Amino acid sequence: MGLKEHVLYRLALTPLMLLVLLTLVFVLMRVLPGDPITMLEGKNIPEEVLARRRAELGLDKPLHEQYLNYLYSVFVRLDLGVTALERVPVGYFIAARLPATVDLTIAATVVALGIGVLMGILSARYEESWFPQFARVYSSVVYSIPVFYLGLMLQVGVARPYGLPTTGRLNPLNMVLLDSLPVKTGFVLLDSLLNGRLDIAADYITHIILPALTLGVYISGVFTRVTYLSVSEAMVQDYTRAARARGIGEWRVVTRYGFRNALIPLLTMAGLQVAALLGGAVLTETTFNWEGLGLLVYEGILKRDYAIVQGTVTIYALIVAVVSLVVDVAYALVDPRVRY
Amino acid sequence: MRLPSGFAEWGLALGTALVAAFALLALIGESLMGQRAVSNIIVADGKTYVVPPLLPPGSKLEVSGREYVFIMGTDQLGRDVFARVVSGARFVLTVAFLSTAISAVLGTILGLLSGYIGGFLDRFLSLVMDSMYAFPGLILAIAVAALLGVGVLNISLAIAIVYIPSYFRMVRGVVLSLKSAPFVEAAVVAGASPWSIVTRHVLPNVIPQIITLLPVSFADAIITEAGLTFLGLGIEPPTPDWGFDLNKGRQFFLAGYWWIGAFPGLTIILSVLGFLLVGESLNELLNPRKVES
Repeated sequence: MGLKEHVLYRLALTPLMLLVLLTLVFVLMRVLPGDPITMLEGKNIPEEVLARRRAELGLDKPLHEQYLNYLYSVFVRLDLGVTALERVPVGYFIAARLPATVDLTIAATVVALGIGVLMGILSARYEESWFPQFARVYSSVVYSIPVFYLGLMLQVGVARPYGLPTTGRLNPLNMVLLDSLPVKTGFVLLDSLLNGRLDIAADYITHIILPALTLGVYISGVFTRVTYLSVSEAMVQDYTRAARARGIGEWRVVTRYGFRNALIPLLTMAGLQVAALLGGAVLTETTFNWEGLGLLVYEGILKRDYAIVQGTVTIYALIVAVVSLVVDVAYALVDPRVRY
Repeated sequence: MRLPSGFAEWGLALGTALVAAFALLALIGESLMGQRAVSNIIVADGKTYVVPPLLPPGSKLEVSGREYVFIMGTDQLGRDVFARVVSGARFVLTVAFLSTAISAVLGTILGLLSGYIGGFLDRFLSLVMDSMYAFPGLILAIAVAALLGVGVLNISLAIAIVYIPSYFRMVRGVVLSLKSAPFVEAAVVAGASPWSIVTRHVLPNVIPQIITLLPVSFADAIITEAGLTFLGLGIEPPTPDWGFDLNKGRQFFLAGYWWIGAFPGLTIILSVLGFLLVGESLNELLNPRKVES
């Protein structure tokens, strides 16, 4: 299969994967015991109220009809329903919250790659020293620390002494200012830069440092291992020996020749970590009160608003399907050996 | 990763010690400390004493001639944090055990069926499992736990669903590689029924692989459990639980009452690390040449 066919094949597979994921969401939400209305209103609501609310939400129809309705509204009408409490379209909340999660996951990936690549390269460069062992212990310990605990530690140990904000995305004043900016995309950093408000951008950056560090450290262990493995694998190959024989310095051999070997595994790993990032983001956002999708899920749980939980989980399914498509295609583009 | 000799052995020893300690806590902790974990009242000589809230770690309290020490302090309701940490082991480890068992059994059965029968069933199951595998595990667990509600079995099921695909994929892979193995083909030729081939020839070769996956799976289950209860899912107060207590202690953390959340958090780290060390060291000792990423 050539590159074009591979991309087309993956494109064709994506709706199928999405269908499976949405079916999974539907099965979870409708077939499992637990009723959205009694969840919200308690078990003692009058029979006729229950029946009316069920009819409103279309829950009185047979399951297969509900299933088709769900798929139809997601795929065709791009409608995720309305929230149970405020009667606002769930899509409105999601559109407002999605940029914050995108920012956070990108910033966290940068942190994780930075730490991981640095520690991996150092481990491979100083293979005989104590450093690889340290890196190894680091990855295990980081894996064992719950994200929210790490977040709390950073709030107490770093935010306090260094005067960084512990919660939220902006100072209250800037939050109001942000709303009044003429050019709007929903992405705070982008908006403040587009409108020439460097002060708001700086405020946003001071707010994102700790959540990004928390989430980034949480997944950095995996990147450390991948980098170390691929670089040290390259260091015993003939081409690196030849490079050394030509008198190229050890550092240059590691970064130029060794590290290139780690690029594709790192890309694969970054794609695989998207799921872990999104899951970790729920806990990070809750800890730092970062108003993204994860916090929306948490609020949905607290308010027992089932429409929010279902809508958000549906969006997660969409993100996962798209990301796995992008990673797969990028993988094929970068690595000429990959042709299925 | 290439490691100096002895590293894996030390890891295994340390991990086993931690796991044994937590297993012991889960078995007897609640009967030793259970009362003080859920109540702020000490009964002595027929009189009741109310323990003050927010006592710092190491505080002592004298109740009718007997001294009570609160080595981890008391929480916002005057309950002994140490007692809650110790008693919490039962809930957490029970959930981790149940969820790992459920996902291992279901994943293995589905993997065996899918790999051995093949055809449409295999394609269908693989597609479903791969999709589940790609989905963020914690969010899947949140969705299930939010619907199932509180209770040991409910939260265990919510976690189990996340890890079924890991077992499924591993078992299916082994089955596919074994299907054309000479001893399996010999059994087919000899007229063995599919049931006996799967249970007598395939399954015994799958089990060692499952066992090496179990400790890490256990560690994952504890982390996921902590995440769910941190969000307030699956648990009903006043049941002692590390993730839940950490969330409750969160608001007191910045006010200076760090011990309410700090100790449950440390306990989560130690328990996860214990199982992780056992799993990784075992893997290294059993498959020395296999380089895992």
